[in-house]
Amino acid sequence: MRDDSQRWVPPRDRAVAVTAPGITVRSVDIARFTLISGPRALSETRLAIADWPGIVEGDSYAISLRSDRILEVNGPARQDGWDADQNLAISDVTDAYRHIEIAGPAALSLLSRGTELDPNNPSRSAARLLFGLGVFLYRHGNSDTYRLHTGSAEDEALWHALTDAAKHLT
Amino acid sequence: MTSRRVSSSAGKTLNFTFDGKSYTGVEGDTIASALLANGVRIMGRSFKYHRPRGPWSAWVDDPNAIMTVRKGGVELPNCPATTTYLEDGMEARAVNAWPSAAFDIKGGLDLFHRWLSAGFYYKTFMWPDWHLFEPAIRKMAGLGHVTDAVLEGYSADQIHDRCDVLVIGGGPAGLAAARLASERGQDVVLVEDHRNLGGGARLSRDIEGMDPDAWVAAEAEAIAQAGGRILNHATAFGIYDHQMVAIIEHGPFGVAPRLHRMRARRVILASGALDRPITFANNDRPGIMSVSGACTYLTGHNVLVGRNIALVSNNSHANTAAEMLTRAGAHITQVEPAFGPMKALGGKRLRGLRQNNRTRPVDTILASGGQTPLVHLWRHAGGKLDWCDTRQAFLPGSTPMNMIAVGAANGAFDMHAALEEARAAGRGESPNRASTKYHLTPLWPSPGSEGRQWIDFQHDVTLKDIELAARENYASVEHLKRYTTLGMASDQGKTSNMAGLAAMATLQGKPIPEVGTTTFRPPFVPVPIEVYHGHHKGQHWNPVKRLSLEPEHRAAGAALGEYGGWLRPAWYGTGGMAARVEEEVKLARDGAGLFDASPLGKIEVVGPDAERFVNFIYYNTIKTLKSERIRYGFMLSEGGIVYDDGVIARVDENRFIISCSSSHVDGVRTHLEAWRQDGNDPDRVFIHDTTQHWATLTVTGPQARDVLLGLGLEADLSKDALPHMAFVETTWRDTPLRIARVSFSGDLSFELSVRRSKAGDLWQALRDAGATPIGLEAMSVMRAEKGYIMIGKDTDGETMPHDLGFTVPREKKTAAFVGDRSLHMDVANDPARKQLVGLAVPEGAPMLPIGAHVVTDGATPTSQGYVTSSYESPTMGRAIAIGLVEKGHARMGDTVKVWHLGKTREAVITSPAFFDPDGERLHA
Repeated sequence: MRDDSQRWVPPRDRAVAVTAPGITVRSVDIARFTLISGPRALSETRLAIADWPGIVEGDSYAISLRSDRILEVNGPARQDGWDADQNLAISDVTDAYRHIEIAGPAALSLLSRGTELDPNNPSRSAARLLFGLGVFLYRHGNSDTYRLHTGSAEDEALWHALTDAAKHLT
Repeated sequence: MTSRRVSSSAGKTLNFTFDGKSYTGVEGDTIASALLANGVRIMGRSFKYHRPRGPWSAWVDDPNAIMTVRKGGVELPNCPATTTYLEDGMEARAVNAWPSAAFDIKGGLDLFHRWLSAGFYYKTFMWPDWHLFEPAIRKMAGLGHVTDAVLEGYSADQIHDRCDVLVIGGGPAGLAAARLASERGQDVVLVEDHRNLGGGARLSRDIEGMDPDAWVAAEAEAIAQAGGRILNHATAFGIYDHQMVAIIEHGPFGVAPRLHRMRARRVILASGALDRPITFANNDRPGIMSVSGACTYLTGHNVLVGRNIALVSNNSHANTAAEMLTRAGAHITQVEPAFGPMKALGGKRLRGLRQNNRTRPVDTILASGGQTPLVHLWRHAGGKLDWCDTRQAFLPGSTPMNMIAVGAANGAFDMHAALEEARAAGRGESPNRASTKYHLTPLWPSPGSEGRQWIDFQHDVTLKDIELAARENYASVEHLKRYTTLGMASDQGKTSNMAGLAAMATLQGKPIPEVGTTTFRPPFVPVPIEVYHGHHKGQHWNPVKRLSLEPEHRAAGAALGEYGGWLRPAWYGTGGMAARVEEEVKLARDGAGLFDASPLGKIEVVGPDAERFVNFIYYNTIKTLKSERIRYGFMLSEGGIVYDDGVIARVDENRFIISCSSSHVDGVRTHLEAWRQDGNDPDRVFIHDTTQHWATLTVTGPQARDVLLGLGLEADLSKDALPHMAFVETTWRDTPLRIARVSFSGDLSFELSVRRSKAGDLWQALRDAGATPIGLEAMSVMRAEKGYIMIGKDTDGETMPHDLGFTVPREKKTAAFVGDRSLHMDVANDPARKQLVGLAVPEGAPMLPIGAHVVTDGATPTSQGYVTSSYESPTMGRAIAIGLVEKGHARMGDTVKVWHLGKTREAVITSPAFFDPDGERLHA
């Protein structure tokens, strides 16, 4: 095995945002992320559902991942494990994901560097491959602000993919 | 000068050099048009014979004028001079020629052409060894050379886009189709590979009563007004699955092109047609070019390519060209090629054209053997081709889904018919192909005729090479292509394929359509590799997963390496890997090592059917596992092969946590999800991958418990309260903490898992309590000392669990499990299966090489297995190895031969557990 320490850029300072014409890319923190699966996961949650291309508001909502799975963002505290009353599997995954927000009129153009996105083609799932990395993507607050959640260990790769692509914005 | 600019241009003057000489051009020129304007014809040399070459055409079909271009510190090889727009300060140099294209020292190779026919090197360089000749041949071969210089900032932009209608080609048909479609409210994108729209429009006197330039401008304006988008200097080079069209958009020289991945609901192909060459003796000489190419140089660049021109054509387009060139001041002699064999006279300078003993003293020969529609993209999309006798060409046949061809690409060579067809397509209709006024006399190569007649100009494939291939039974066009390299030049056969397959048809006595075409594959034009990878290069090519503790590891002097897709500490500190690993192993064996095991899987299986499900997934029986207990087990493939190993912990009645191999997390999660939906009620069991929520730190060594006691935990960590293969959930500094008593080192070990965001605090606390960081290399040595396997390293694609000594479930487990049936097939019961063993060498002997074969005795030894892991063991004080050996379990104590790269040594088969075989340290 060789020492490849120098081959990889050390992890970034997450407080630093990147701006490019028409966009700002920044890391955001979320206090609680809860993965919930069950045959009625979508209907049981009281939170607003984020899917594609809908716009979700506020700090507390649920991201639709598939027909039986959601991610609650800043939802109520829940006990990990099987909830026999609700028929739900629950796992705290707060630290499993990191979060990036892209805001500005060129946000969709930036994201289009990494995946096919069509605001006219709705989907009940926010799951996407972006630059080859698994993400959850939706609009937050307004039509020009996008939130991305990716595996914590892949956050650096996604950040570099986004900021490299941002260099092509003019 | 033979070729010249016939009228001044309003464009800015641009200075450039070619092969070291200075010239000027004007804005809008290509390198080729600027050189022709300066009277330069020889712009390159052919690949094999180094024959002088001038441009055949004015665009993508030219195979001859290939250059290395340098400007502002950027040098790019293999730039086609006919498609590279001139910029001020460019330095162009012909590839494959030295010192210049005009005088190339390797030009003498042409004298040996009799011995250099197709396939000569297959026959010539067989003895004594091809590799003897290979370096010199490779040095001679090829076109431009890539420099070592790194082009900073040369990074291709890649964009995904979509549209209702994609129109490929900005000539009259494309413009008309795009206008109609956009005016009907469709989201239209029009792609044109030149900087200017119009295509072949300027080859007409007028279009629908308008000046061609005015007509083109009006169409473009109408498209823009209706909301259509126009991409200039952009080429659609491939059509892929689900209507995804790849488009390369060029910018200034030195700026990486942009890739558009365009998903189009409908594609209108208006890519036009090309003049095909006529095959006659010496038809490769500089000054012989296509009729349409000459017209394009004239209408697009005000360059007249000759003064005294023989126009050789078999089709009705020749008259228009003759009129145009005559008006520009050329003397045109029209020659009917069917009247007899022709031969071009002259060498670097064309002197005339001889036909039937009559010599015409001309300085230029323009040739057109008919129109070849550009159907490459049609074929990429899966469209069929039909042979048209009238046009003597392959035309688009049965339609690929959502695609239509119009204009010259569809054989509509008459302007009126092309526009009608295009407008119908723009309206969403699928018009039938109209009849045509275009006519021609069939004109194809004549095998057996005299003289060297070129089929592929760049690769020096002649008619005689085709005849030779036919004689040697390379009769299929695909074999013909590979034997002769016909169509494998940088123009990918745009000029040569039709002539080559027609010659083969004649040689076989078959009609052309029976011989068929070779496969059309992307890219349609040469595309820099940069365009394909864009951002995905260097550390972004296959990005590794990053540990939350990476800053701490770097601060501790970790040497980081890629292990199973993660960037992990290999060892810490300086002094070389071997010394550091030895020291880390000793520290861990004598005290307490601290190892970052965060990548280990933490996949939760939750639900009322979770127990039944994991019992089915695992080879081992899991249903008897009690809460807060852990079990080691295997997951098998359906073939009974060991897919993953690891531990599974039971949290409660309905919840398990699978700790699979670090590199297998994504695969195991997919494996579980697949089986969850097959034979199970998917509403009663769910898979949650929480791996990246948790950071796991392993404290291992005889002092591990003492280190944990330093954390001030409430949990009882005694041997009785927390025995080996048990776990407890507790808290530390108000954050959840899982402590699992499992070991990969073979020593007393505790795996501590906390939220990723708390890992730094725990790391520091454990260090403060006396644990010393150890890397993955030290852990690899320690696990091998104990005889613990690494899946994929100590197992292969045939290893079953009983080969590793785990026999009970195969014999006694009654519940169904994945791979069960395969464990009872003949192959699983083969007594000669390779089994996991240790291989001991005498004290002081060097390590056995990994991969070394255990071989039989005798004159012709055969392999009985191989070494899978081998280390210098700091704990044992000698080299240790483990491996897979036939009948290994029954051969304990046997001395075996171990062969590697011609050397044979001896080793003794032992148990793989060299360290603590009775488990006293493990259970401490």
